[in-house]
Amino acid sequence: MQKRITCTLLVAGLLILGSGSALASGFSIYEAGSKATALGCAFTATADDGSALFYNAAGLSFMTGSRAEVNAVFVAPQFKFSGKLSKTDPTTSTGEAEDKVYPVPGVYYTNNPGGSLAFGIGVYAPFGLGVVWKDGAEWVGRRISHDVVIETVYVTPALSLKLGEGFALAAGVDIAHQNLELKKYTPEPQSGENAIHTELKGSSSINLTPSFGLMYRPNEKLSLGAMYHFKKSMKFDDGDATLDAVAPGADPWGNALVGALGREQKLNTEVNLPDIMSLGIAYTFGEKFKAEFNYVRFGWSAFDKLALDFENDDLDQVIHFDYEDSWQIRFGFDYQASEKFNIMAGYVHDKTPQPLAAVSPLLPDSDRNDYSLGVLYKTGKWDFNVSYMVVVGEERTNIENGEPVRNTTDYPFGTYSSLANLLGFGVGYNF
Amino acid sequence: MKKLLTSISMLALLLALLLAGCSLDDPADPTGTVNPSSPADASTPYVAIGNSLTAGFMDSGLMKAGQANSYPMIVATQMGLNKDTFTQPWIEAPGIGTTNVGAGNVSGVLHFNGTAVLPLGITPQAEVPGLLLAVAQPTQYHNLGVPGAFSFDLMNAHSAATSYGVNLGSPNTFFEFINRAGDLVSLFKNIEVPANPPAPGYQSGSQFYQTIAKGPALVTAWIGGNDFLFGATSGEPIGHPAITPAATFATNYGGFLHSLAGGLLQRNGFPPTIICATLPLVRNITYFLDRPTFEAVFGARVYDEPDAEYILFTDFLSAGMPATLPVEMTLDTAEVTYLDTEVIGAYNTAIQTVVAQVNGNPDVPAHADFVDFNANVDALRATNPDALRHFLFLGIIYPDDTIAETAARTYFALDGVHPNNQGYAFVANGFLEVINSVTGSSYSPVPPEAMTWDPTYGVPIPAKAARGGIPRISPEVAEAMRRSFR
Repeated sequence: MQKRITCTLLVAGLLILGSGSALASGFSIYEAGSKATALGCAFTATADDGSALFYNAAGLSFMTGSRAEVNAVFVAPQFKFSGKLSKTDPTTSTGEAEDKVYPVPGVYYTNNPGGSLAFGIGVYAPFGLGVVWKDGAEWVGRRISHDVVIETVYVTPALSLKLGEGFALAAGVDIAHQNLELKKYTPEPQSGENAIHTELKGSSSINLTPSFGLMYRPNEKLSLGAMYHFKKSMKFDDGDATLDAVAPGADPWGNALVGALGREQKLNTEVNLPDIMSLGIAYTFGEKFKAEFNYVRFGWSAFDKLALDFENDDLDQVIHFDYEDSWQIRFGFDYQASEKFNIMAGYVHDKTPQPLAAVSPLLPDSDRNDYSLGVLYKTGKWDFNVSYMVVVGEERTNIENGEPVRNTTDYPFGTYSSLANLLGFGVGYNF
Repeated sequence: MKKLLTSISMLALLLALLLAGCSLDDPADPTGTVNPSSPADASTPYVAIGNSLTAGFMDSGLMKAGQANSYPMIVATQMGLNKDTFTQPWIEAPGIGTTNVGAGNVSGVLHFNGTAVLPLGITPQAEVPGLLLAVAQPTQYHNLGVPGAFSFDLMNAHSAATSYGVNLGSPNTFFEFINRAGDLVSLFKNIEVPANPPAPGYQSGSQFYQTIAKGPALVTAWIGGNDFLFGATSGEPIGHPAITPAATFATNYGGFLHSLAGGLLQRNGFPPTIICATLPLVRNITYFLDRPTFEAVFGARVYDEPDAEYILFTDFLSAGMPATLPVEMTLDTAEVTYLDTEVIGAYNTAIQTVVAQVNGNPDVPAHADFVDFNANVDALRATNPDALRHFLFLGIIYPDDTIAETAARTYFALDGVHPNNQGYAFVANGFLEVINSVTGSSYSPVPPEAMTWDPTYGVPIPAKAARGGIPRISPEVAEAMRRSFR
């Protein structure tokens, strides 16, 4: 029975593995579990469910028995834009991303037989991006992107070793795979009419890097935690680039271009993912109220460029991002309202790693403030939770001193705004 | 029980929040905070439009040696630009010329070998693409001078088949590689894709559209010479089919210049600066040698046109200096009057009228002015008459000169119509003066005497070739000189 439940939960979780959308700065998705989401993902010093595999695997040493857990955080991002294509463009354009809901999975199995060693394995998606602009063929930023999707799945098996009373050290392997898809238009040079539609699609090879966790609980009330996931270079070999003339019969320019470049060809590239470090402290006030603070640092400077190496060398190009390292502060509050109910809340301030020059239709990033709420219900061996988070991005205007930061004819300038609603569900079974 | 109620209430509140969600307001349009467009925002400072005179055509052909000294290149250099920021359709030696060297071959430019004027080289047609050094340039050229372009072509020609030359039985293939959209691959990479193009119609790819796509702050336009020169150099211009009627020229020129001003204003968001130039009258075209000067050297001749005023000097040489000059070898009083008043003079009136209209149009603000080419040349003649004489003629009247000394005297190339390096500097100075006047800039002129023109193109002169005497010009070369204007 236990095995069947475990299997059922894991299969259910795997079924929801899918697209992700940037929720934290850059294109990270820090919401590896629904309960953690309710707590503003301030979870490194607590890490008392399966999502510990991401937030701090050393938490496994403080759990008891076995646990299977499935989380699904449904993300509904919104992006809007108002601005112009260039300084000499007489028309103000607006844009809006399509209403899409991206499921972010978190499927975990943990086992602590009670000795010094605990074990766990998790499947989650710590990086992802989905920005699909409405009316892509008309969207003012279509020269850069009208549809971009990045999906990243980590499988992390980890061992946690209890080294002494209240102190544990964990090590794991982050096994990662990534899918990448980008669609854009190239207009005919002088009419501005769309001539070529380009679709880049790739699937990375498997990448392995280590991760570490550390937890120290000197007493019942205080907990200190730290975690570190190494940076990654996701290699894409033999991706597919497809160039289509938008009006094959009517547009000689587009036809000539597709003919000259080759309609279909292979593409290689590499996407660097940042290292992630979190330091956390949690304290229980009285019997029922617990607060946690996390300082999280992303090594986003690793994401400096995207070098696209096409089969046709003439097409090779480098897109510069020049991200900078960034940080977040996270606060989580957990109140045990009754024996069966916990009420949770959180707040996050998230600094963007994206320099103003890199703000683009691909990802208009900004500093963000997140607010979260959630409820946990426990009954017998089961527990259920529901979480809600709103991610409020600050408006980002890529104009400085009266001049567009990037005064070109392909990157629009103006103001981007963003917001995301997240609704999470988690179910766990302890055995 | 109370705790349970509290918990249920909290859960209800949470669900309500989830259902409602938060929504995103539209961001305010911030573009009003951006500084107005100015010439500094132009995607390029300068584009030149024209015909062979703009392209840097020299010695009956287009080749990098002449292009390096085209007047637009000189103007651009004085503006602080260079070969990378002011691009031209560079052509490798021996260039692309106009001499008939037989089917399947293309002549190079002409050069002087000490005794005769000959093509510098001959290139098989199939190898001509190898001469086009800049064909892979990613975008439109800054120098949009197309040898042989007529006023009609400004708005309409983007290929040999669409050029005005078709009407004259000679499609202009220069359009094929000068007026092209740019290298496909680089355009694909979003280089210089115009933000605010004119209404659809790019497929024409004419000089006009190429210029709008380029989006310059300054344009020079010198066009119209081909509308009359082929007719004029026939020796029988009156009623010649290759001469564009003045009214047609005025329509072509007006349509072009008004469209250019409006197109650039729309493209750039600020008024463009457009500097035009008038066209040379007969007296200011070296190809035509005035009769008194001619007779002072060659003595009196019999003329089939008794009131001949100008002699087509190179035709005279190629015909073996005949005692009687046929009607095709001279321009008589009626022909000169016709050309200078009803054709060139009327063209120049149209140019000045249109320039004034564009400059004063309150609805489409633009800064427009023109270079008075004839006034400049007349002033030059007063101080340096040799500058306006043909190299071959100067060789006859200065028999003790070295080739280099003779070359340094004249501002005109071997074909007698196109300036040489000194002459293009002179033309550039005319444009620079007006540009400075209109824009308030202070670009320096280039001393023509500082430029060197080598009519031998560095080809060693055979030892037996004695300097002096009457140079030889074959009928093919004479024809090439005439065809330089088509």
